[in-house]
Amino acid sequence: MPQIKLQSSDGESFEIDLEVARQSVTIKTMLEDLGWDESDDDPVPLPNVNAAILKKVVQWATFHKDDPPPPEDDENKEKRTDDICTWDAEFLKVDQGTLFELILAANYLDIKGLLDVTCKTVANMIKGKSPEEIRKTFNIKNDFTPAEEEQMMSCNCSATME
Amino acid sequence: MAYEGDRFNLSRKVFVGNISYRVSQKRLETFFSKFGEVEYCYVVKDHIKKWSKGIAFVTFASKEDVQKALAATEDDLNLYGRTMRVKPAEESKRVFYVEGWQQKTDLDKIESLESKDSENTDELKMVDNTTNGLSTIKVDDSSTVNINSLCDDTLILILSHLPVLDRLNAEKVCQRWRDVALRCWTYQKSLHFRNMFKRFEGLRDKLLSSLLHRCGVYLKQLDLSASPRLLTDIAVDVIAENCPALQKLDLSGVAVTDISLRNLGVKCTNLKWIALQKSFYVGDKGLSWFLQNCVNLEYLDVQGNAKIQGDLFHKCGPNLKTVILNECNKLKDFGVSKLCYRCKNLEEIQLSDCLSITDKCIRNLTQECKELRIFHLARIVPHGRIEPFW
Repeated sequence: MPQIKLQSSDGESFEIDLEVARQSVTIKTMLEDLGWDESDDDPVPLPNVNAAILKKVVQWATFHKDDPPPPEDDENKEKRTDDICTWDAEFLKVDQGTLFELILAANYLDIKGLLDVTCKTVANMIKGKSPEEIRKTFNIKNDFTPAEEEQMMSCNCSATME
Repeated sequence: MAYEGDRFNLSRKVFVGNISYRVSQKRLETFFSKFGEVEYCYVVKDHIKKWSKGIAFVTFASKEDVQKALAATEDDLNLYGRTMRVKPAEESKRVFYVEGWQQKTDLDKIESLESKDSENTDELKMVDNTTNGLSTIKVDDSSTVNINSLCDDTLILILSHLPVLDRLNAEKVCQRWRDVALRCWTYQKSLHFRNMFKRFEGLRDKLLSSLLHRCGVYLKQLDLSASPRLLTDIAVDVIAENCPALQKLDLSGVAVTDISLRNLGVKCTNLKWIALQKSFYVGDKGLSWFLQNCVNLEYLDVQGNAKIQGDLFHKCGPNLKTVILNECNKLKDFGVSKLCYRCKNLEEIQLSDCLSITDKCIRNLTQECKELRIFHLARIVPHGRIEPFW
């Protein structure tokens, strides 16, 4: 199977199967535009992804290389978050920093499957939490003015789920 | 741009907060030009990701213009729906490290800096009068990536995976989340409430109203059948007001009245599919008003209605294909006949447990509706005599 070299932002090279790499639409189009062929030995530079994250991405892409292409987004289809496969769930047991770096990488490399599953994981972290708990979980600053807060309370779009 | 010493001249500089993330440096500069000539404008960006942090420093050419900006009313400071805060820029401590101002040593020379301590805190402090103290803004965040590093589109993708109630909560997290969460509703084409409420809880008019204010315009399908108990006919009016594009609506179990049903027909003329099971308050009049307006209707389900006699079906649109009339005790022969004469394209009709109809209407059905493919007629007693079937 033909191999391709990817180079992370910090200069580390990864040699992976072409089929694995082509799951990334960004790499796929890059190769097509460049007219890449097997004799090429130059690594593909990925300036937005560091070695640690690229390693994870490659690991994910290798496991999922035989997956059928992800279905097109159907507006009417309900989005679920409970359909993460066990391997992915295990794979995504990482700290928040890594998780968000994976999202950024999936976004940049345009790997829909990885982007979906990481976003679902974050959605699961938000689900069922109060605004204050969400802020705490993700270390977000409450930048509402007291007036805005009051307005939110009074319009009372209360979303209690008890 | 080259570094100039007087850019730190605080007497001509203001701090601006609460800026919409969409505002570019140029836009802000233009905006503040209305108070006077802007010499320099700097929007503080995330050190790593280059996204605006929603704060900026504006240096005016003259001190008088600073006073004008500080005296501006809230309306004067509204940009993209946000009221910006303008404060005198005051720096305590030191070290305001921003990429692009390469020479840290240059910063050290600046006279206006009060403290000379060389502590390397990458913080900018400024006096914030409203909160009565120092508020600290980290300008050079630690390099770790967090949820704030994600771009709006990614955050939308995450939030769009959440159930609607969680999305309402997400709106209250911070300004950015509110903006993003509100944008999420654009993609909401269908709304239902299955598995959403615990026992003894349910959907109320107020919650439905705040949801429909957000996404009603975009909705094509709405299903309230999972939690109709606590809704009143106000809910129906709210739907009529907010959901003009609705095509499929399930109001089964909701206490719809004749008046609110008429209102619905007038406003939601695109409806193709409606279920009104167990709508005990709806009678011939309300349904006839409704059918008169919704000419595109293809599916009508009034199962379990105890008032309808059928003296309304001449108002049906010609597109009606499926009619469910199970358990409509008062439904009379002439009602069914009217339906047959009016809707020649009828494909499915269900008349199980309709205790008041006789074989006369069945004859009409078979004669008039040649397209009929599905016909339910269980537990019908001949000649309208009501007998318990056990």
